[in-house]
Parts: sequence; structure tokens; C-alpha cells
Amino acid sequence: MSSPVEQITVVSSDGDEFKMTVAAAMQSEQLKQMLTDDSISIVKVPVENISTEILVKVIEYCQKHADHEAATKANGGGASDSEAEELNKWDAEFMKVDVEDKLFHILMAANYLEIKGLFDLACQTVADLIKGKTPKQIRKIFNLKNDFTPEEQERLSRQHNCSFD
Amino acid sequence: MASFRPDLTSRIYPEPDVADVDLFDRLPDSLLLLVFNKIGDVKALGRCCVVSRRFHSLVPQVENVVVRVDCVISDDDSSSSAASSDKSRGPFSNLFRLVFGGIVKPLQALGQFLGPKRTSLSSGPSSSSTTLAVGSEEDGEGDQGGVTHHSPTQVLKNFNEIRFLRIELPSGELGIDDGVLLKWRADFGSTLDNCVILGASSVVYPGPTKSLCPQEGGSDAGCANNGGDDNGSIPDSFYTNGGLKLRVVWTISSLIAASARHYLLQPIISEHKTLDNLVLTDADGQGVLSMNRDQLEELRVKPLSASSASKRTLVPALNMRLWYAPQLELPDGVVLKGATLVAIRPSELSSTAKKEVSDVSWVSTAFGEPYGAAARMLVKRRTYCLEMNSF
Repeated sequence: MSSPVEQITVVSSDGDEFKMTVAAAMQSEQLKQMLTDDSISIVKVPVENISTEILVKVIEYCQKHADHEAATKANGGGASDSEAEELNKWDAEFMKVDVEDKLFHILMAANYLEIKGLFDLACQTVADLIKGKTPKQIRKIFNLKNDFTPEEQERLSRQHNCSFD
Repeated sequence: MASFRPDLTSRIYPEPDVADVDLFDRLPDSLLLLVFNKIGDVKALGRCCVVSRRFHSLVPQVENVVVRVDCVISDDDSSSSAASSDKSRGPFSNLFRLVFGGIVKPLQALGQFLGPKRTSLSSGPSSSSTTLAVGSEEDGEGDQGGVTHHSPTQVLKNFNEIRFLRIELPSGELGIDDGVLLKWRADFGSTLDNCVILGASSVVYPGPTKSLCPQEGGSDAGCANNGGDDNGSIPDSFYTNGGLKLRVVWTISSLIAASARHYLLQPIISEHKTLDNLVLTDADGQGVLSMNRDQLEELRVKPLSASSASKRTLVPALNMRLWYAPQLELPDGVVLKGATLVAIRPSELSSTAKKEVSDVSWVSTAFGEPYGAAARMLVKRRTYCLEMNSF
């Protein structure tokens, strides 16, 4: 049995290597599986579809949440309201990313690595971007094409009682 | 670390001339659906329906929907003083007026709640609150004159797989005097399963310099000494000074409001068989009607009995337990005066159920904080039992 691992190395699709503490890595179900499986001795974990830029963000999230969990445990279990709120604020700031570049990449990275908190956060961020916007605005933000025929538009517009714009 | 840093922009991101790539393209339908499930608001989802074909095909599969009802219909379409809630129409509100006089403001004709699509006679959004319905979009911009409203039933027709549905009325139905606290929570199957009501004749919030020491007397705002003023029982004055009568009125009003809501949900429940959980609440947080999967199924199998002459479900014969404290100080410093908790169950249920008087867990968990704390404190006191006939 090897000595306890304290850090693991993850390798981005660009070939860059990053160290992660075990606590941070455990935020990812995928990495957690690997870490807890004794038959695997981990040296470097390649994460093929995640670029360096995104991986850096993901690691940042994992580390922050791992630290928060450790602090909570040290305080005897319950996170105080203010601490929870502070974490929420941090999360909100963290997700202020460029939609085109990063948001979807982070969402998919979180999905791939099975980081529930980050995944929910990213999904909610996208959902919040959609809420309150007109269809036209939604299309603009996400570069979507309006692929309805004019007749369909007419019919749907009446059905859903909203304009296409 | 790495000795060479690749040129990230060209490696990872598309060339500038194809920067118009559809961002959602990368997401499989299952993930997109998860995003939609976090939107909730039915109007936003309606807008998604017209964004693109893909969105249009996925929205009906959304499981989690929140319907915010915009405004309240009155029977009288030509009503112009819509903002005033003095309009009372229909047998429902008349019942109130007769029985309770000025204590409870007449309810709007809740029967119109799930009515057919109506076109408001006014042209601008400012004359809203003439329909209890989900309002149209963008406040009529570009529409051919008039604001159109859809009933919640209609709006939900687009969805086939709703599991969690939450409907929010714009306000609580019960008009209560300022300062009075009244909250109810009711669970229904085909009929009332249980109901918990929390009330207080007044609520005193802690001042900025409130002392935490409970022994200091004198200050009228707080430092209520819960333990020492009584032995947990209800003072005689409660029965003689109108206290009990007022609580009965609160109870009946709450039950009427709850049963009316239940009645109106029938079409939605019968149409959406995938529902796991249905909550009908209001923006004031006054009343919550809740139905879980079993209860929903029960209603589909065994239709409700309607109360004659009014559009609400018949309330069965009831056993009620009432707890009262002249003064109750909550952990956050708020003081409830004349605090009352009423726990209601059908008589039939109580007599056959094994768990009896001792089981109050469903009572203390009926409300979120800080009211949950009030409930937990009140149930420890002495109980007063009431029975009520079906109505």
C-alpha cells in the first residue's frame, strides 16, 4: 500500500500540468473514484477535453470549496449563515465569465469531471442568463439561429403569446 | 511548469470568422434540459419555445415549472377600479361577507382563476389586476391592441412531463388587519389531509437596543418571559374577551382559502399525470397548499366533493387542537402576542390512525423559520381541543 497521496497532478488537453490537493480533487466524483480505488496508483491524470484555461478555473473552484468544507468541519459541522453567504458571493463572482469563451466550457468540464456544485452553478448561471430575456436577446447571447419558417413563427407566436423578438 | 506554452487562442477557440458558432451546440440535449430545469419560470420557458426548433422540442420535457400568477380577475369585466380589492363577486366572497363581516376582506372571485383565456378590455398594462392569470409578454409591445392573458391551465398545456410544479398567487386571499400574523399550510389528497395555522394578534420586532436579558421587566416591547407568566395553559380571559372567537374565524377563513385553492387545481392535476409535487402558494407567504405524489394520485382516483354553492372542496368533519400563548418570544427576538397554533385533521382520520395526540411532528415542521420555532414552542403548551362539522 503506497503512502497516502497528498497531491495529484492533472494534465490539460494542452499538455500543461497542474497539481491539486487531494481534498480539492475529491470535489470531482471522477477523480474521487480514482483516488479511492487502491488498484490505481495515480501519477498524472490526463483530462483530455479540458483546456488549460478552463482547468485552471475548475481547480480554483475545487480548491475553494475544499477549503470551505475543511473550515466548516473544523468549526464543528455547521456552516454559519455568513460563511455560506460568503461562499455564495464567491461563487457568483467566480461565474462572471465570458459566455462565449468560458461558461459552456466550464459547464461541460464540470459535467465530465462530475463536480456537482460547479455543474449546478454553471447550469444555474446559464439559466439566469436566459430568464427575463426576449427570444431575440437569448439568440444573441448564445449565437442561436432562428430556424423557424415564417408560418411557424406566426403560429407559435400566437400560441405562446410572445413575439419572436 | 510546461516549458512551452502553446498559443491558446488558436488551439482552443474557433477562428474568428466562425465565432458565430451556436454555443449550445456543444451541449447534448440532456444537459440543455438540465439548464431548462433550472429556469423554472413558465414565462421564460415560453419564450425559450420560440427561440429555435431545438429549444422548442425540449421545453415540453421540462420537469420543474414555476407559474407566477400576475393578477386577479374579478367577475365584472368592466371593472375599472381594479386595484381595489373591495370588489366582491360570486358566492364565495359573499359567504365571507355574510359570515365574517369586516374581519376578512372579501376574496376575489377566485373561481375565475383557471378560467378561459380572456382579453382584457384595457389596452395598457397599467390596468392590470383585473385578471387572475399569467400575463402576456413584454407588456403588450407590438401586440395588436390589448393585453392577453392565459390561464395557468393553458400555459401549462405546453408541458408534458412536469414533476415539480409551483404556482404562486400574487397575494394571500385573506385580508387581515395590519400587524396581525396569519399563516396556514394545508396538505390535501382528495380532501383535506391536514392543516396547520399559525397566528398572532400582533408582532413586535426587537428594537435596536433590545436587551437580551429575559429577567428585565418593564419594557413593553420585549423581554417576554415565556416560562414564568403562565403554566402553559390558556387564560380564562381568552374565552371571554373574543380571543377564541377570533381564532375560530382565522381557522375557518384559512380552511376556506385552502379548500378553494384545492378545488381550482383539479384540471391541472388531472392533465399532468407526471406530477410528483404540487405547491400552490402566494407572494405574501400567507398560505401554502401542498400535494405530494400519493395525494395527487388519490385525487385523480377519487374525485373531490365540492361544497355546495361555492367553488371549493368540501371540508370534512375536523378534529382540531389549539395552543395559545399570550406572549411568545422567538429566538430571533421577535415577540408574538396572542400567539396561536391550530393543528387540524379530519375526525375520521384521527380516530383510526394509530399515532394520536402525542405525534406533533407534522405540526412543528409545517413552517419554515422563524415560524417553525414559534410552532415548536407552542406545541409544548397545553392543548385545547375543538371539533368542527364539515362545511
